Amino acid sequence: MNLIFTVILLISIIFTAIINPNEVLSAMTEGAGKSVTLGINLLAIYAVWSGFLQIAEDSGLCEKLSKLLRPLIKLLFKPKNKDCENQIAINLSANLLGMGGIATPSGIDATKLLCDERNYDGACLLLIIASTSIQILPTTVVSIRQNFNSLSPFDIFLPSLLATVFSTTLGITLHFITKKWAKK
Amino acid sequence: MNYISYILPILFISIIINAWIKKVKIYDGFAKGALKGFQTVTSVLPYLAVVFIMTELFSVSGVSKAVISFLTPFFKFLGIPVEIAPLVILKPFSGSGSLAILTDLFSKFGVDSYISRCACAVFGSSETTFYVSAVYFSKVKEKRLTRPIIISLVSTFLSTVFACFICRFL
Repeated sequence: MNLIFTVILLISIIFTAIINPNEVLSAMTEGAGKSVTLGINLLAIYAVWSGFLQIAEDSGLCEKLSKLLRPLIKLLFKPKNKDCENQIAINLSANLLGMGGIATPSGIDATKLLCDERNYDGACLLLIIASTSIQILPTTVVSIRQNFNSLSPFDIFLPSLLATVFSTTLGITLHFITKKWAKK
Repeated sequence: MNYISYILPILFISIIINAWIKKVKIYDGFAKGALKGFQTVTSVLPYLAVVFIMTELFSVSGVSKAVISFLTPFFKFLGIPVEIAPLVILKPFSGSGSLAILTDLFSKFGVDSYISRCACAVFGSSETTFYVSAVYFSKVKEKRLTRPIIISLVSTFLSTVFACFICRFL
């Protein structure tokens, strides 16, 4: 991440300086400002989701969910404790339903727990699955299409599903191929 | 009828009723969860700042435009419509930015056009990779993320090619 960030930042600053040197600082402040706005929105979103999630966890719902997904999780991530398994289960199912708001806090916790177990590969895999987006219901896109008076807003369902299954499968495959290769 | 809008209310209602039956302290639990949510945001915020500063400079500097025009012939060769190239490039960086491009494409080409449908499939099958990786690993000290990021970008890109291909038939 350090390398990627350095390269992109350096190239961008150089080019901005060539076009308009006054814009370097203002662009950075603007970007930081956007992150603050997003942060405030996230505070609100997470307050709601984490609140509900805590109730669900207290009442044993998360446990049931992770039991359902356990075979898959065990196969892919090999987590060592139950807590970790639960968080992965919440993350995966939220991502599947296209609810990023609920997926992110559990994703952060699951990544931390996996890394605490020294299971760095599992954490990487979770990241790959999240960022190749395993969505069954493209909720955002469908609702925007409806706003634009699409004749068939759900028309996009099948191509979207095929594409996302394709990207996630490819991501998982590449992960397992390069994992061995990286360790050699 | 938009039945998708009923998913969330039903989910919330069933969580509350289930907790009620199991005699869970709903008020205390919710507050505890909300506190956890705040802590999550606090630990994520610095990384958000870094990613957003990078994204902003990336688009202001014109590097994103240069990358797009550089890659256009390559995209054409792979069967990706030139019109959705900005979406493909910007998606790993910014969710709100790519959403703006998506709605822009809808109003330009019509929501049921081939280009818009491609754009939808691309949008639905990819994520804001840089944002997700910064946030997910925000509580972890060790950050060797180059391999997973490259894998994510490669798979997302290939699925873009795939999406544009199947949109011709479906």
